[in-house]
Amino acid sequence: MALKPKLKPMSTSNSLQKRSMQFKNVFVDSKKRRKQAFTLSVFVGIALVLYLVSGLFGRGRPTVNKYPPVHGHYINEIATTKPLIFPAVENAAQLKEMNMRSLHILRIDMDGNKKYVLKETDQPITEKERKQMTDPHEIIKRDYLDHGKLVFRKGTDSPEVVIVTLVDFDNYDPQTLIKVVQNRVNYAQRHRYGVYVRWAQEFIPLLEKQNLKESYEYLKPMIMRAAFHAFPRAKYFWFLDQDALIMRMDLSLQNHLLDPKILQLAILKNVPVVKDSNIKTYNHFLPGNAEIIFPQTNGGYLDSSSFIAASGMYSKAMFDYLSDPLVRDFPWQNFAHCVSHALQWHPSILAKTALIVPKTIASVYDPAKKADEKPGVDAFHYTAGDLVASFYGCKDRGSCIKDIDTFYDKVQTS
Amino acid sequence: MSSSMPYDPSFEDEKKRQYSYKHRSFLDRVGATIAQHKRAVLGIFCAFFVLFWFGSSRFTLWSKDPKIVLILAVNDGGGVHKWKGEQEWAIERISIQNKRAYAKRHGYGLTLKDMRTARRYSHEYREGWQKVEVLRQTMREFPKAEWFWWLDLETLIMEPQISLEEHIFKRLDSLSYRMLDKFNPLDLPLDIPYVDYSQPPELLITQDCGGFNLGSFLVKNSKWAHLLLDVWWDPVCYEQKHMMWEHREQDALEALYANQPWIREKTAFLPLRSVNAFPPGACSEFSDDPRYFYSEEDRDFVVNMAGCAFGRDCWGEMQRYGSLLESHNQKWWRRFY
Repeated sequence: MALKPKLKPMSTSNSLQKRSMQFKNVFVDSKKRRKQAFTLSVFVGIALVLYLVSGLFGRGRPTVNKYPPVHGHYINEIATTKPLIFPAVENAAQLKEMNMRSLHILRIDMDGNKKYVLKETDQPITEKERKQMTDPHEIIKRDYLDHGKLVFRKGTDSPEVVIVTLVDFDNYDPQTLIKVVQNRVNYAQRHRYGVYVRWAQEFIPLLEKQNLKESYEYLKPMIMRAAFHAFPRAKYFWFLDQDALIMRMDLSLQNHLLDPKILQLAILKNVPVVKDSNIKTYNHFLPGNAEIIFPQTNGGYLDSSSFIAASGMYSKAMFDYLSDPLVRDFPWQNFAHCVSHALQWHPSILAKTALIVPKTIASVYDPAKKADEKPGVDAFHYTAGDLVASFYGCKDRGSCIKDIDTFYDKVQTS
Repeated sequence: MSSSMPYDPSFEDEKKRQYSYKHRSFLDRVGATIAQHKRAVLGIFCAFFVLFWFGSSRFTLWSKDPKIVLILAVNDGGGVHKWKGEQEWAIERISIQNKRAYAKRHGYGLTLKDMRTARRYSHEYREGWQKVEVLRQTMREFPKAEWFWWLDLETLIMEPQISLEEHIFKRLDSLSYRMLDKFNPLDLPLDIPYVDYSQPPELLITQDCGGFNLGSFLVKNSKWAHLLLDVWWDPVCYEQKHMMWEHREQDALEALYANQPWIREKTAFLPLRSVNAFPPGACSEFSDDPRYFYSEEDRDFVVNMAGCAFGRDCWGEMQRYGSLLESHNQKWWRRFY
C-alpha cells in the first residue's frame, strides 16, 4: 500500500483557493480570453433572442386540428347583448300574407317533391344595408331570416332563467301575439330573466313533414336546443306554449319551483311515467338530479305545453334524441307520447327527469269552472293565484285568442 | 463442529449469547413465539388461506384496479348455428393468449365476454343489442377503470411492447380526427349544428371502407358513455331500420353520429391502421389504398382479420400474423439456436 501524505485541513482550503484562482485565470486574466468570453456570450445572447422570437411566432400559429366553432342552424350569427330575444310580432299579418313560399327557398326535386330548405350560410345584413332597403316586404323578410341568427353574448353576464316560446303567424293575429310576447317580457324583466321567442315557421324547412299543424309540437325540442345555444350560460330554460300566460308576475321561478326544497314537494315519485305504464318514476329521486322537469296531467300523461330543462348533457341528449329524424318522423300519437317513450326506454334519462304536479307551471284553464274559485280545491285546473294559466285544449274549442285576451286583461289589472 | 476440536472460547461465548434472552436475535424470538402459540398461528394461517383461495377475487393485498380494461369478445356464435371446429378453438386460444400477455405486460385488466348466440337476442329487434349490453355489464364490473378497449376475437396485437398510453392517449390530439372532411366513406353530413368540438373525446372508433368499424374501439368510463350505451339501442329506431341496418349496432351508431350533436361532439376517429389494421382480404375492392392494410414495415399495432369467417381462411390468416408476431418479438438469445 502506498503511503498517503496526510493532508492538513489548512492545505485543503489552500487548494480550493488555488482552484478558484485557476478558474479566474481561464476567463479574466488574459485579454485574449476575455475576448473569447465576450464572443461566446454574444452567441448565447443571439440564440436566446432567436428562441424567444420563435416562441412568439409559434404561439400565433394555428393548431393542427382546426374545428368549426359551435354554431346553430345558421353558420353566421349575430351576437346581441340584450337578453330579450323576440321577433317583430307586429309583422305577423304581413308575414302570413308573404307566406312560406316567399320567405324560404323551395326546392323541387326530379320526382316533383317540394321541400323548403334552409340556407345555412345565409349572411345577416348590417344596419347600414337595412337602412338602404326601401321595400317594406324585403325588410320584413330580412328581419324574419336574421332573427334566428341572434345569440346572447355578453361576457360572463347572463340571465339565470330563459323563457322560451314558439309563436305562429299563420294562426294568430298580431294583437294576440303582442300580448303573448309582452306577457313573457314583463315577467322576465321583473326577475331579470331572458326571453327567447322564435317563429315556429322558421323551423319548418328543417323537418320532413313540413306543415305546421302536424309538426308544431315537434319543434319544441328544436327551439330548446336553439335556446341553449343562444344563452350558453343560462341555467334553466322554461318552455311555455303560446297558448299560455304567466299570471303571477311576482313569483320568481326559482322561489316558486326550482329551489330543491320546493321541487321536492312537487315531484311525483313512484308513479307510472304514462298511464298504465310498467315504468314508474324513481322512488328515491333527489331534486338536485332533475335536469328535465315535466308536469303530468290529471289523466297521467305528460304535458308538453310547459316544461323546464336545465342546460346539461342529459337535457341536450334528450332534445337531440327527440329531434333525430328517425325518432321525430315515427308515427307517434302525439309529441307527449314520443317524450314518454324516451323516458320509458332510456333509464338514464328517466333518472334525470322529474315529473311534477301540473299546478306548478301548467294549470289548465277550464272554461266550465269559474277561474275565481278558491284555490287548493283542484290540483289540476287553473285557479286564481296560480303561476300559469294554460289554455290547453283551446284549439279544439276554437277559443285560444279569446282566452288569451280575457286572461291578459286579468294580469294587467291585477 | 467435531468433538476433536480443541476448546474454543468464542464458541462458548456464542452459546451463552444465544441462551441469554437479551441477546437473542429477532428471528429466534419470532420462532420461539410461534412455537409457543402454535394453535393461534395455525388458525391465522388457515384464515388467510381460505380468504385468498376461496374469498372474493377483489381481496388482494397488492393488486390495484386497472385503469384500462381490455374486453375480448370470445366464443362468437358459440357454435349454435354451426359446429365449432378445431381451428376455431385454436384461433380463440391464440387470440386470448395474445391479449392476456399484453394486459399482463402493461398492467391492464382483461375480461373475456361470451358472445354466443342466445335466445334473448334472437328477435330481430334485439340482435344488435348484445355488444352494448356486454359493454354496460363490463362497466359495472370495473367501476374504477378509466378506459375500455373492445377487441373482436379475430385480432392480434402485433406490437405488444407498446403501451396504449404511449400509442394513443399521449398523442391523441395529433393521431385522432374529429371531422370527416378528409375521409368519409358513408357520406355522412360533415357539420351539424350545436357540436362543440372542444370537448375531449370519450369514444375512439375507426372507419374502414364501409363506414364505422367496431372491431376494435375504445370507450371511456364516463357518464356520457353510459348515456350513449343507453340511447344506442332504441326500439323505435331499430324497428324502422332493422332491414337496412345490416351491421346492427355499427349502423345504429352511424345514424346517431349523423343526427345527434351530443354524440358527435365526444366521438373521435383513429386511423384504421392505428388500432384496427386489415389483412389484404378485408376491404379487398380497395386493395390499392394503403390506409386500410397492415404494413409490416410500419409495424402497425393491431391487425383485425375482420370478416375472415365470410369466405376467407381465418386459420390461415391467424397463422400468418401469428408467425409474423413471433418473428418481430424474438428475443436476442433466440438467434443463437
